[in-house]
Amino acid sequence: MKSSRTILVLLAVVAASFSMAQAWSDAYSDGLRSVRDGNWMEARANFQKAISLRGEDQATPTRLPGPATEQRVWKNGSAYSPNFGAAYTGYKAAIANTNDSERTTLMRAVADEFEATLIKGQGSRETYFFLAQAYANLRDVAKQRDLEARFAQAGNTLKWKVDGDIIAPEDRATLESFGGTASNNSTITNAGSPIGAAPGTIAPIAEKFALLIGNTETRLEALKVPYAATDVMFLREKLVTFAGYQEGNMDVVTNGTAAQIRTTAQALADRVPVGSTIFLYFSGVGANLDGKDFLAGIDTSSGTDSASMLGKSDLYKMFMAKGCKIFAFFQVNRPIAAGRYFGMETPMVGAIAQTQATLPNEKVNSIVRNGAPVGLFTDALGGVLGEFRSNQVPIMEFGWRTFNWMRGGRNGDSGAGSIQTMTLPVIVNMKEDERF
Amino acid sequence: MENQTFRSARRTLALASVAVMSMTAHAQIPDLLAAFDAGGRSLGLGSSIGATSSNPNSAINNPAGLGYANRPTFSITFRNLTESRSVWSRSFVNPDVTTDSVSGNRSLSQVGFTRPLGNNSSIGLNYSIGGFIKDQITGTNLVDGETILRNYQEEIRAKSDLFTLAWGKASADYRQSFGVGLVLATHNTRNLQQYQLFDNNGTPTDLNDDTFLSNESLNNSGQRIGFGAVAGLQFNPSADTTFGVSVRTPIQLSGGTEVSDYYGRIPGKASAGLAKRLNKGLKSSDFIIVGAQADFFFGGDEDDILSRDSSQLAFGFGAEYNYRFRDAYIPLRIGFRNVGKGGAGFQSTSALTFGLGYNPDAGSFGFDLDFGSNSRGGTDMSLSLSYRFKN
Repeated sequence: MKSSRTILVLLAVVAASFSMAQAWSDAYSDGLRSVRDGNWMEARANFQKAISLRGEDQATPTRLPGPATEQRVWKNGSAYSPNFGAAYTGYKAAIANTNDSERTTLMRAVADEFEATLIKGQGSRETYFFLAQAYANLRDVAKQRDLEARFAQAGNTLKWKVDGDIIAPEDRATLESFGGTASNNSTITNAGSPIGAAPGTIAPIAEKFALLIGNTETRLEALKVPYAATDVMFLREKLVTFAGYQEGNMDVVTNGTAAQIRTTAQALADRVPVGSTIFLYFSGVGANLDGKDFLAGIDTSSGTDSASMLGKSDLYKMFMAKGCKIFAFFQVNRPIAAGRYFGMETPMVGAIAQTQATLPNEKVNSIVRNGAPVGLFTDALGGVLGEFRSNQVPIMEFGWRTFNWMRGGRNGDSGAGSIQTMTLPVIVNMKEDERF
Repeated sequence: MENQTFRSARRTLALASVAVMSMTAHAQIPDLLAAFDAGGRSLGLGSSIGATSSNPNSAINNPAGLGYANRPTFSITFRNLTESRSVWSRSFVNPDVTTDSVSGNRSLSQVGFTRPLGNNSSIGLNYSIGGFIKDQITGTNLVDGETILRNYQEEIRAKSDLFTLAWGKASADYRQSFGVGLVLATHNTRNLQQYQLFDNNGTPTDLNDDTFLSNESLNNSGQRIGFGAVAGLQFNPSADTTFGVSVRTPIQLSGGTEVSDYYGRIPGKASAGLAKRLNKGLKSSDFIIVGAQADFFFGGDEDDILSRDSSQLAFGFGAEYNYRFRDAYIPLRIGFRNVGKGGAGFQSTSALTFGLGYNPDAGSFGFDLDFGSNSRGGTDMSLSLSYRFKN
């Protein structure tokens, strides 16, 4: 009787030891599963649970218990990154949150969590990148610049690895475009700059191009945009300084005829590499004729003379032929005539994001900056680019931020909310967080 | 040069089968009939980590190792099959014998696959060579009573193939593991013999007056099959220490009536091993693994032509330095193995072993190249490749 009881106890002990789970890895795996499902808050909760069970991130493989003869490592030698994971998934959740207050609160927490990992000496390129994005989202330019300075100081000494499986594929692709990788083991080699080469100027990307068109002069006085040509120069500077566009990759047309615009656009389209990113900005007179949008040249004498205009879709096609992603912004008055207005035409093919400076039947307006008028829309574009200070600006996030800026969200000094409301980007065949 | 006592006598020309039964006992074959190492990393470490490892070969070496497999893994090993060459002289009944090992031909010696089943358990399917001998004997003017044998040539080849289906499970904290397996054994035997028989006319030392009697030849071959079981335990009292024990039952062979007298039972094998990881090295990321293992073979059949003693002992020890190079480990290993004599007609053998490998972190593959320098001559060489699939 006594021996059988002893045996039962021993069996119970053995059974318990064979059923006990390795809780931190389970929580971490649950987090990764939630990442794959896009459940960011659930993923964040799982990573936080993993932190509560095993607190510190580890860049090197986690050796698992097992035979001494085998180098048995957890998750195929991956880094253990629950702190990074919690912050990153929080960032993703914040971006997806449409409630401003909740979003800001969460983004602040995320920024603090990323900073905490940097304080511990766990500086990875991924951490710098997403922290920069978080600060941009928070419009905290001072911290953005401070981060850029720290990143520049760290240089190529960033050796910390994070678990690449945490990062969404589109973000991983963005990081890889800087020359580093965010693979499973997140080995960083030949890292480029994800957040800027140095304070003041964002690192340029060779595959990004811009075509800026500003026609102040026009024969159609009622639709004139008086600050169109100067807005182009204003925006050009912002793109170079804050968004990673090389000066040589930007073609500018001021006060050009339709033919001149076409020639310049075609020349640019001919030299861009396949799959490039195109920032397309037009400020001037536009029209919609028979459902098709046209950009007027300075020689256009009639709002119905399509022969002296350039079809918007024709402009798009030049770059679509190269498989480019087109990010188009139009600062055009949009009167409704015969039920039609500029911007009615929505592209069906190509990868295009199209944003209008004002609603249909509304006019564009300006604000005075440094003694000169600047279009409200252009001013907001430039201002938000300055906030992002990134060569990988997500389009929809950028659209919302520009929208808020124009509504007076930026220091309340533009006061545009009462006189001009822009549209959000209309996106065709690209993701909402596609970057330009 | 060594003398060997016959277990059976050959006296008449007609009793060829009796001759077959005796001839295999004449040689001094390095005894790998049951203690053949299928190669791979283990070979380079003097066969010292079989009982303490976790790889597809664990299915037969110690199925407890399967409990630690966390990714589907495939491995394949090629190695030479050590042979021996014997030269007889003077007498057929009690010849003077000289035997040397040679490397032999290369062959597939192991292929295996493990698949995790969840809950810290895995299943493994493995093929490996469990035993192999091939002795080629030559001799001439071998006196056998009133006859004399000239141009004597014989080849005896025996090979045990082990097919194992095993399952292992580790505890949640990976401190212990157990495993069991079923072993299908096939044993192939081939015995070729030919010579010219002369009547020595009462003058065995005078080779000029012999009378030719006949040409004699023999060709026996066949396959025998049997089933056995294997079970094992592994303990990891600390993260850097592992004990392993495993037992394989003797395997009774059946079938192959033409060769049934050669080998009736594959001996059982009991292994006990100890492995230790030393976190020391030139760099902090380097480490060393040392291992030692003893194998005890039991339950063989003494009455077989390929006779087995009641027991046979083999032991090995080795060390592996894992050098960190970029994002990979390069293991450099050295070891020593001794296999004791396990039956009449056999002799003990030992080998100094060494090898290296390459195991990248990110890659799913690894390879090992290992060598053994045998005390009886010949060099072993093994190439092992492994691939770990994603879960």
